[in-house]
Amino acid sequence: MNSRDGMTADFARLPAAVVDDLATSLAALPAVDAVLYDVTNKPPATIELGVSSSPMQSHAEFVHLHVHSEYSLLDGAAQLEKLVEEGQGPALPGHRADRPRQPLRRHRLLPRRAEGRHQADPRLRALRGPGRTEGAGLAGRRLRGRQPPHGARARTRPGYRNLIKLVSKAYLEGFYYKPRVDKELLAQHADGLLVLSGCLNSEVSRLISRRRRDAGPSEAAGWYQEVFGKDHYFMEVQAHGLDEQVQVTGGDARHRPSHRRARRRDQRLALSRGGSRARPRGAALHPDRLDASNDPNRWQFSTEEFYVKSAEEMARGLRRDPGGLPQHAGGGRAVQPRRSSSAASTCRATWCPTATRWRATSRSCAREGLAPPLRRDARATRSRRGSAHELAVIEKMGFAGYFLVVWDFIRYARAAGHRGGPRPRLVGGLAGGLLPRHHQHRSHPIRAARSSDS
Amino acid sequence: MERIQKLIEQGKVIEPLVELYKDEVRVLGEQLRLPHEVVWRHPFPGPGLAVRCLGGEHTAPVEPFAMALPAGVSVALVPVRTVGVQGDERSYSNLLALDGALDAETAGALARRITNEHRSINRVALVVYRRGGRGVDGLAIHPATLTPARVALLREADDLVTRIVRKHGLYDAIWQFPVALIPLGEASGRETIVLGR
Repeated sequence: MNSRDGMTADFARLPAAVVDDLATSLAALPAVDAVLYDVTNKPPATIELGVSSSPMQSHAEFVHLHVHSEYSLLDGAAQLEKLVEEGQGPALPGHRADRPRQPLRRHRLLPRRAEGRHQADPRLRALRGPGRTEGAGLAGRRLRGRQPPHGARARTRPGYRNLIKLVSKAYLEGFYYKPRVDKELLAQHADGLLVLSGCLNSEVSRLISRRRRDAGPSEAAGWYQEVFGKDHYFMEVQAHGLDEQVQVTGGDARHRPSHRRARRRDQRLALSRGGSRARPRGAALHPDRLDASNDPNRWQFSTEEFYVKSAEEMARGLRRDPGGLPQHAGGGRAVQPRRSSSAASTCRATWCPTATRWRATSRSCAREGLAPPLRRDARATRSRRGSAHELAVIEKMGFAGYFLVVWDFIRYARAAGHRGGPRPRLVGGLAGGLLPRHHQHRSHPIRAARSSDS
Repeated sequence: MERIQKLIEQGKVIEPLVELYKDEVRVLGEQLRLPHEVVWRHPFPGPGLAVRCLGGEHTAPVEPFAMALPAGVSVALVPVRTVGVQGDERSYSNLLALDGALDAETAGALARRITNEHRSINRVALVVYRRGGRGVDGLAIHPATLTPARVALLREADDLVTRIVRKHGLYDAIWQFPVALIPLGEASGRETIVLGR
């Protein structure tokens, strides 16, 4: 098996000569009747989405706490508009009816423009949960991902402020490959937050999955309980149907280490399920949104469970747990972040609250970029036609906003004299057209967006 | 276990590598100038690979499995349940043996198609050797337990595989190449080696 990061694993493609050699040698073992060569790939398995609920009591108190939108750089394909339309489950207590029910989680680096959009759209503003906190590890020395990626949510208005501070400091002070927060910082801004133990890569999950019987996981979890308060720290139970999740959190109810641990330590549980797509159908198409290549071996999801489930579906999944899930994740009053003047200044009014405006803006940007040359030769016509086609594809796929984000990055980079941005590609593309004339490069916007992700 | 627990509590267990990832351990190993083979040894499970030695409770022959296949390729359902996950729960789906002159690439593509289309299959393996050259017909899972002899056989097979992969200069290119033993054979006591994963 081959793996670059331990998260995806392709089977090792051995040359035929090697396979023959292996088969012949193993055949010499007297007890062996057959030799098989496993040719199944293991798809990646670290995508997590969250929910906290009390399905055994009432669906009315259910709310998704962890959803990836199309702006999640992880893998989200749940479009904001659709999430709002679907509006699974009633709102949290204190939540206004015209507000969405899903807090949208930014995973790693949500481009600021896209966040501006979250802020700008009143339907999407509430319960935005940007908390991704990662540890910087030991003082003075930054360790890769040593500390947990946690889901943090604001419970109160000061909590919201703390969340924003954590995010800002993660970028300004803790940026090491990705924004991180260490435990010290976390403790300083712990007030008013609700924290989930996190996905498989989190500190606690990792300790559990090591199957160590020592106090490691409990101690780690204990720290969070102490800092955030017993009622505001939740063990996240994930069940997307992934092997590793079963090991850490799921599968047979009697063997859910995190359940048992939680019961033992009087910890609270949060259930975490589905949700990078707004709807269950279209599972097969999801990878197409992530990788449009024709590579037959491209990345696949190992489960079809990553969609935003309804309260009923969530409850059904839990009925198999004889112990039932402990109380409702609680603490969950919707926080309406007040828009201070400083918040408003981060969000330029021109940056379009709706999809329609995104589209209109990207069109006008495109026109601006493409307008000057009045050349009528075949090449100019071809280029204009190509750009129109590209723009149509981008709009249709719902990436107008994303495209603008990339465009803005490139524009800034070029203006600041950086030679970054998209590589020249075969297609004389829209991004090229959008750039200031003297910086024009042939480039492919979709590829550019993808390469800037990585 | 309790004794170790006690030692941990007393602070007498020092695990200098416990906080490091595999790649970091390797960086450290390189810096300590440990031999290349040691530093880049593939990870393997203890004790003595025993977890890769599957058992069987009843006799169960391989079964036919109906599906559309390219010419010259046949399949059979091997009644071992391999760990996977379906829907909400951990599931033990079947292994499908694939027989035909396929290269790794083609077999891999076919495996992907099969696991996508058939939820009852979560693993596909290509038959690369069959005693007497008879495909998978006539093979059955036989009752078997974890015995020293079986584990010894598995270790021998694993060693052979490691040597061959090294001989072809592929060892460093592969991240891990597990070898498993399943009690699939023509009679009780006969075995099948599964390469990879």
